[in-house]
Amino acid sequence: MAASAAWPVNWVLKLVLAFVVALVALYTCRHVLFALNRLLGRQRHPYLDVDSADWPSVVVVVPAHNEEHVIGLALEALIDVDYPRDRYLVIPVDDRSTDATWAVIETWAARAPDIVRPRRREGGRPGKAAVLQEVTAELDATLMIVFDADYVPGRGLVKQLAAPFFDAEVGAVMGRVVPHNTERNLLTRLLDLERAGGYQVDQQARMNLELVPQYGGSVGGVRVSAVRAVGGWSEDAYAEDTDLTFRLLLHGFKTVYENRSECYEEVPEVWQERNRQIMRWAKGHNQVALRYAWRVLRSPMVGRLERIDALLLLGVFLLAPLLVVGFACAFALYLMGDPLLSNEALAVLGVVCFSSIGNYAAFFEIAAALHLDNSRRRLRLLPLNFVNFLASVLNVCRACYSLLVHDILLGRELRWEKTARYRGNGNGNGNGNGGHVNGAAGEVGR
Amino acid sequence: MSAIVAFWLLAALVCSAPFLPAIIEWIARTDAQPLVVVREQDTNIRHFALGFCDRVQDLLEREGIDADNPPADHQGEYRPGERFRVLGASSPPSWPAATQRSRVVDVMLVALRDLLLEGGFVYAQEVYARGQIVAGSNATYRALYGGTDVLLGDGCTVARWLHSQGHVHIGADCTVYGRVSSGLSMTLGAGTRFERLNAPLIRFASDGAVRGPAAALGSRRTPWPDAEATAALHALDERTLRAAGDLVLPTQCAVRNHLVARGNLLIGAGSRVDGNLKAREQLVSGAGSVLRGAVVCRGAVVLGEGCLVKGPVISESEVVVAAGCVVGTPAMPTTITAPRIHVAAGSQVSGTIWATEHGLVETATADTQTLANA
Repeated sequence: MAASAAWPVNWVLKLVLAFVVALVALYTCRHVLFALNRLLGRQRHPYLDVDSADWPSVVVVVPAHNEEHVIGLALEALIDVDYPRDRYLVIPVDDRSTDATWAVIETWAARAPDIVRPRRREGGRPGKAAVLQEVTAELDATLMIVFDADYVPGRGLVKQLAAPFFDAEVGAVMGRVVPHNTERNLLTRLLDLERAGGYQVDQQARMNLELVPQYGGSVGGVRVSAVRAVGGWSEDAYAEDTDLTFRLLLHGFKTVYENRSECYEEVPEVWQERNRQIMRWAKGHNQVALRYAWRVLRSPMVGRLERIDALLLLGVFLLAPLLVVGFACAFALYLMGDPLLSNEALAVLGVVCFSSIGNYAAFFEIAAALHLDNSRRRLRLLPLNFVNFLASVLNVCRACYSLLVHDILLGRELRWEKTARYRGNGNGNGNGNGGHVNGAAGEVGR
Repeated sequence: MSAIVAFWLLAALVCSAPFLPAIIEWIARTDAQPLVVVREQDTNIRHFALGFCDRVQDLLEREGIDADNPPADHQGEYRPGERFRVLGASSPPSWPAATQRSRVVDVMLVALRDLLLEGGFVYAQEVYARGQIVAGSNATYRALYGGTDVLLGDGCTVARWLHSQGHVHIGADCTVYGRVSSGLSMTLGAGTRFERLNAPLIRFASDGAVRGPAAALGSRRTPWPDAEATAALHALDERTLRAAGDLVLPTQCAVRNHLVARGNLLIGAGSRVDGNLKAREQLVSGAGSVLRGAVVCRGAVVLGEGCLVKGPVISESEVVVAAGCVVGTPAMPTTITAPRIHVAAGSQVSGTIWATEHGLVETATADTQTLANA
């Protein structure tokens, strides 16, 4: 009698578990494929070798909110960049700073008045998207390149980021972000591993396979006419960079990843800040997924493989809550004494996917990235990344709950959050979102 | 009981084994530094040549040699086990009997005037000349730096790089690996294989000026696309049009848009395109076309006879440049980059050519002609 009462529950749990296991297996295949492509496949860097050309006009925008400790270095590096002077402008935008950011910007503007054209915002909507939208509306340049205020670009970086735009189909370009505060503590070292997997393997493999590399908001650029064609920057998006990636894709533009266009950034040094960062990413990414998944599925502008990759990319931050649901189902089935878990193929597949290959795929990506970077000894830290993995699962679940309950059901307006800076004398607050490209372990549950 | 405890201890030890190297690395921090990002990296083709030049200046200073009044001959070690020889007025240099027999010169040569190098030798170290270098035929050179011109005989090989502040002439059937650059101009003989070239003016198997599409420049062209053609295209932005498949432009047309073709892009002979061009399969430009923007293709790019291209030419497979083409101008240099680049005799490029697998100067053979006229 009891068995017959449990029958429908039992089967629902099994179906949910099977779905989650299948999804994890799919992501596993995707990431093993990416890692193998980077290790063994043909690498695409078609625009890297362009060094002489009639370069397009470029504006570098540096949004800044309370960045007095870091923005001077960024501006110094940007003034020193190798690019034709008559086609190059730097626009640092002080977005309602309460510290000496504006004074620092003015100092550098006075040193290079022909290149640096500062702007100051004292009102309006806060945040990077609002800054970019405001600047884009008034630009007459062909390209806009965006750096966070703590990024220190090399001399050749702007040319490297501009070169792909000779391709008329390219709407956005993304470079590689490299953490420079890796030596601070275990967290920064683990985030360094995560970033390596995310950029060196994940992004470059998508570039190699002509899938959907992601524009990450900093160390990247956009074609101004393309941004205007898709309706500008979304000021109501938590992740305006991912949002733009998908709107460009749906309109027929491509995003290009340049693995050798590298720039240093700071990664969070405390878990509290890391948790906020991953929650912001998850929320933004899931918001984009809700907005565009259906359109990606139906758009004639998106190729078949691009469509599959785009959908999987949109789903990465939904995997964490699904993983938790899957574990809950498995545990419930175990408590119900279901024989399927102990002796049938589903159980085997589930255990293998959850406990081994699912984690292994993401970790394999990191290992491949470290191999490619020739950073062999830091590979030993990889087992400790499990801690980061678990923290990410938890925080992504919190973000999903917050998006669903607070934002969608209760209709709360987007709240702009700042990234902490660690360079200089104090912890200033950045305007950037730290390059919103998910590292391998950041894409939880793969 | 003790067996159970031992079992669980052993199990715990086995399970924690993968964490031991991690914990050791966490504590010892043997590899905690940030990944090196080279800030000065600007892909300067002269990087090695300029570095070598600095090294020679340091060497002359260290040895107390006045470059304007060089000694007759001076030898020594510039690094432990690596020898150099400063040649004063003794060009061409004479070699000891052992070197004559082996035909291998294993010293770095520094000539403070012009330098004449005998052919048929292997020059295993770098060669520097403050003046002109005349390098003999059928020889192998590691690297050459010329303060003025560098003239390389037929059938030579340069293993790493060649740079001249003046003109570079590379004879027929040479192989020049790595970077070859000139401050003024460069001529490559027929049959020469190359990788990366840079100069304000690069001529292929021709010393004369290249005519380009001059004859077609003044002719009348029909604006394209018309209303019918526009209806079949998707507007990516206000100036960029995309075709879902192949795109064929008629002859003698004038295009102001950027064009993207998801298939092949064929440009009719004598056309003029002001925008950038992109094709995913093949991009073929008919003879005498003027392309003012960039030319980008996933497949092969074929520039027909007598084309003028002002923007960069980027292909992920192959670029074929037929005779009489002009790519870039000395005032506005540009780049041709592809894994394989075939350039026919009688073409001219200003800027950089970068063949990541191999480049070849063709005589105007049937192969090139066939491709270019396809």
